[in-house]
Amino acid sequence: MEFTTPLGLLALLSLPVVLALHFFRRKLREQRVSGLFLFQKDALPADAGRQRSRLLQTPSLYLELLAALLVSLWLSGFSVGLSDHRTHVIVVLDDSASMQATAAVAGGEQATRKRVSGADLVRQRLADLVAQAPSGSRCTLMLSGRRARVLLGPRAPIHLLADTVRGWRPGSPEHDFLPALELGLEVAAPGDDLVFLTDHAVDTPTRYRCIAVGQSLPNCGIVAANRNLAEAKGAGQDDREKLEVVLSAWTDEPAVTTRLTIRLGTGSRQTQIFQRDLELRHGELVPLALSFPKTSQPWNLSLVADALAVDNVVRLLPGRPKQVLLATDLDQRLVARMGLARLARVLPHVALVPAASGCDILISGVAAVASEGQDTVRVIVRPVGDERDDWIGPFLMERRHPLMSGLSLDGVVFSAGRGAMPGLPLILAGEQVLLTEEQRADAAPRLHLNLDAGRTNLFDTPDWPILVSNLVERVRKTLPGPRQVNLRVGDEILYRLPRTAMAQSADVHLLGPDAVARIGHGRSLLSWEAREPGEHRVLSDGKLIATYSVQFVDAHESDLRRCASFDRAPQGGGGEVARASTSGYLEARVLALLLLLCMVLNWIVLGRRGRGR
Amino acid sequence: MRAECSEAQAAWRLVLPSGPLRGRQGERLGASTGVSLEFMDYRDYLPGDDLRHVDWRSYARTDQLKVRLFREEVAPTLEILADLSPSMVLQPGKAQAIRDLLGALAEWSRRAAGHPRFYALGGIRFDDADTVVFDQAPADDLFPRARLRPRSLRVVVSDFLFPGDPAPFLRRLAHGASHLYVLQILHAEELTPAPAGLVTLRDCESFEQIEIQLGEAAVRSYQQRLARLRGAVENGTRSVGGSYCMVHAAAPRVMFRSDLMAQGIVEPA
Repeated sequence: MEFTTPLGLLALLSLPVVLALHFFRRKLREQRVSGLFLFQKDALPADAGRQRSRLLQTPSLYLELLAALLVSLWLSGFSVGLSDHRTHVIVVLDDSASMQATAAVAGGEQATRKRVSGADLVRQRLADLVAQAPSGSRCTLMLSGRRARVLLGPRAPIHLLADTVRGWRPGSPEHDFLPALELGLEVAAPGDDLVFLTDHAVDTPTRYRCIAVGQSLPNCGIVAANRNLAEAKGAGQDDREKLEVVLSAWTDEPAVTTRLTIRLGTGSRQTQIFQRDLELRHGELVPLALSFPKTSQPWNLSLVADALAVDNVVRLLPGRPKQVLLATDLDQRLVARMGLARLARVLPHVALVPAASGCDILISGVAAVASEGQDTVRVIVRPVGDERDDWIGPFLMERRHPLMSGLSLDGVVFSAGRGAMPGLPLILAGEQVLLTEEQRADAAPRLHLNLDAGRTNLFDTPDWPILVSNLVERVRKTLPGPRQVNLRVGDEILYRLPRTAMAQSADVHLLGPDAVARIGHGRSLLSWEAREPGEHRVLSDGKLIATYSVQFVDAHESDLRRCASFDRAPQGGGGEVARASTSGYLEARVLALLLLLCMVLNWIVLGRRGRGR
Repeated sequence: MRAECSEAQAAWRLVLPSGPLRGRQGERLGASTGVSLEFMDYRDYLPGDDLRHVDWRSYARTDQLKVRLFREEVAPTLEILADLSPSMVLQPGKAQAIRDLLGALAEWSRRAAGHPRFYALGGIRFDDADTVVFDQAPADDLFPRARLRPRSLRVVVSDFLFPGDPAPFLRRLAHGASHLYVLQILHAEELTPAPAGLVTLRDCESFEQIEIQLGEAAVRSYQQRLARLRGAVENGTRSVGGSYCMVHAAAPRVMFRSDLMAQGIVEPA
């Protein structure tokens, strides 16, 4: 017999309270009679001069005392250990992609053998666990990963375990299991069981039972793939795109043969554009550099099916370079002096457009320009008055600013006017500010260039194209749209919203291969974690605005030779401590039932007395 | 008096005692000489006596003038002494029964050319039984505070549910009366209380209270004590030569036939 909450025994103080209530105030039903003296002989004796009623030993008194006793026992967690062997099991699953590796089930013809994955074996082991657990047991299910998470529970009914893992698809890249295992330890109470299911040997805390369901298997995989977004220029050739792919194999054999196939297109309309048989040696990285005509179709790379399918497939979407539109309203002589047309040809994905149309960078004078939009970065070349100075250095630059990257200004003669300029100084000479950046609320920043374009030799030095290139790349990053469309599992999916969408608070969410919509985090730059391989789409108010392709490339997970099967019991006898936290449920229910019975009987007794029976 | 009682009492009349009565001039033979036709006695002639009353045959025999004397005709006074304590109206049935009984007694008295008078035990006279209020507070002396007429018929209507020996009280009531009728009226609940378990009993007059387990045993014990009380009232009544009747509070016809007639208090009219 034990009391799990001994403080609950304080409720026994209610017993004298019940007695006192019956002692001091016992209101019997009153009946008027005409000859009381005729009943006097049978009157219950009363003490002379007392202020309280005699304690009458009535059924109601005994029932109320019993009810108070039952409540005390209930609150104190009274338990006699009645057949209560329910358990609480904390299950931590290894969510890494290698759990998807399949192996043929032993027995039968090889061609017709069923293949089961590590995840399938985990489901079977969990089903066995549920079947062996006593009725009423509880469970908590956790998933390892870069961020450990709880899938079921805490302390959910164990029969829900099978349904929860039915849709589980492990696919995380290599990660540390310790955060998930420690989370399990925090949730576990003394006497709870902890189980970690994985596919290879892992150092786990001593309380964990470690079950590995893996099998050492050979595997080939794509460990890197890149679709070159830069235009490949060749004399007399159409524009082409480069594909760089690296393959590897993990096997105990000297070499393994596989076949790389590249298809163009989507769905059933794919056309094969490349195929090659390759022999891969264990641990050898085999790079391939291929070139294909530029296309807007995705490239689908695949290897021959083997133990792990997730690293055999890569889908590369065509890059959509963000073109920066450059405009100027300066006079043509100055434009020619600056070499803007030549820079637009040389710099990748830059176009020189008329100032009247919308542009991303506007190099202009001081006067207001009608075509300047909120998102236009304006470079204002300030006119130099009669007072000017020719600065040859040394120049003080704000090196941390991205515009200053790679600039040296060696040999530059900076002819500049005098006077103050708005914004953050980026280049100074002495006390004179030569270049500033003016930040504006809800609009693109402005650059103020204090420069006599006719006198300076800046445009003849390498620093001018570097400065313009830095500006172009900086602006390119702020252009709306996806940052990068081909990503790896674990990378961040980034999408920059146009300013109009931010103002209108558009509903933007990501739809992954699991068809679950996730709201983006951020205000102007939305981000999502790429959790699983496949195509991900970004929708704004139901309209598709971007598509991403996430690949699984992780050499550590592709190496299945480390997988093994074993069942390692917890060390130190964990799990056999008295199950104090879960005992007493049966007693509590019995006490509650008895309490209810007492209350019903007391109600009946009082009811009968009220009716005078 | 309500119609039911009026109908019921018309079939009955009060049985008067056989002994000579007193009272004003009426139709019943009184104890003294009067002008009725009923011969009573002789006496010597005195000058001035009515010669029609001289017994001439006796004179022929004896040569002595004698005068015949006749019984007087009287109308007996009925004094109804009613217990007006709250116990008499504790039950609605008992309250109606006592009012019926008082009304019937008064009507029987009037039909006998009597003059009924109502007195409250421990109180004063009252006139109307239908409207009198039963709120007489318990008193040490239940004898009416008004003067009772000598040689009257007295009827005591009470439940006699008060402690103590009733015999001295009954002797006082019978003193100077030509006859005493004692009608002890009780309700069925007073005769046989229903078992009620653990209850608090409160006296309707003294407001004293006791706690009691009112079960079968307690009821039997109560009935034994009630029977002793009734016996004491009856014995006290008979010891003064009166008539006793236990009346069950019920409908008038039932009371008159089952109780009053059975005990010889009334007879068919």
